[in-house]
Amino acid sequence: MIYFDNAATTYPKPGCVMSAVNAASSGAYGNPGRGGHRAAMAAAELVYAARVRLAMLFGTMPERVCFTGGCTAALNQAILGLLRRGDKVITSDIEHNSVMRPLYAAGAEITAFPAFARDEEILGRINDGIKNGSSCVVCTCASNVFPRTLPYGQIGALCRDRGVVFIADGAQAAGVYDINVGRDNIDVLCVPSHKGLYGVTGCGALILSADFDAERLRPVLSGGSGVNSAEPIMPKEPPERFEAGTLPVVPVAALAAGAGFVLDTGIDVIRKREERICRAVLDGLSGADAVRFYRAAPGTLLCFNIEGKSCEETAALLDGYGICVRAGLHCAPSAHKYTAPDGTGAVRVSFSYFNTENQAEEFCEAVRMISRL
Amino acid sequence: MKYGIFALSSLTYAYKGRDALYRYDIRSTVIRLDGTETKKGCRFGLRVDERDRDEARRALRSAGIVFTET
Repeated sequence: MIYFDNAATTYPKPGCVMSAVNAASSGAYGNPGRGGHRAAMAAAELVYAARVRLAMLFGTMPERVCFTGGCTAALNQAILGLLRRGDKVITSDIEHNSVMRPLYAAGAEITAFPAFARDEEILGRINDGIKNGSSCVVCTCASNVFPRTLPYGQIGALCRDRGVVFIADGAQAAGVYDINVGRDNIDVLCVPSHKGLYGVTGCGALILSADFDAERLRPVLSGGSGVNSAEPIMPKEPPERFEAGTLPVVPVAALAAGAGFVLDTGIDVIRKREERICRAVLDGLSGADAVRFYRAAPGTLLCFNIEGKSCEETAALLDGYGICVRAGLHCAPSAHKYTAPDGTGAVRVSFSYFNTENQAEEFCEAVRMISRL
Repeated sequence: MKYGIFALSSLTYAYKGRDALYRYDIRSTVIRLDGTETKKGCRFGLRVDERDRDEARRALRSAGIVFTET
């Protein structure tokens, strides 16, 4: 099998992640923060070590790393916790539904800038939006459909200068692009465990910069926090403020191990390897007239269609060759205005550190065969 | 053996405090405190050797960690 659907979830996982999963699920770990016995404290120690590692990776403090059920849960917490009905918000026109649907649910008044405009134009549009009363920018760091990163460092600097909140969706960028919430002026960063951080599903993180006032975010979930239990409201301080209920200890252990893998391997090394695979695919299909790439560039993923075939048909045929890709709208419908004009979507191939150039060659051969059918 | 006890605002801050003390070469243990004293429910803290109490107090303050002593 050739797995080219790493933007959905990475496969395979590094050995250290599998070891961490095994250790956390077979060890004597209780419920972290719910008791003082050795098993509960062992779990708490594990969770704290994970906070330290993510804080190191993303440039904040351990107590500002809040574990959630995933990146979507983190984005819901950030967006629904901050915005009130009618608040003006700036976003891009290629966002995932994990950004757009919470924005709609919050009743925000949304303005979208064109993600493929030049960086200066994007910043100008954001500046105009702020002048028109927008109090928040919410956007992805890297698209889940195209090899396109938004200038999140410059967006953060602008937001900081103008006093508006910057919420960044790191779903595709975490582990592949260097993100530092302090340096990049990101107030709230949302990341998943199971993509570029090589953890398992069921966990993500809401990461707050050192100087962001956490009380500006209303907790979306309320419940047990393991501290000040007699109080009727959630604690004021992160991370417990945003961590109602029992934490997923095994996925948190996997996330810590995956983040360790990324730190040890190096973000640049990982990204350059993915870009090499990407280039091999682009080179391998450069003469295939029936294959149309959309907004192609060396990156961590590509989007294409084969003339005369629907994206779903192409993906099913590739599966027949043992190649896993994702067809459709990729939960980012507005992004697909840049792909097939009929609005049916495209085929996405997305890479990880574990893919090889041989796999890229096999993929290209399969696409050439399918395009001749 | 006599101990000094520092109560922290959460378990996370207890671990942060422990790491801060470690940097000052002070050994401490994260413990669960008796919440019945304050009637606020679950609480966590740090236990240090009584002889380290003064230095631990200074170290926690310099790390910006808020605590109460019990």
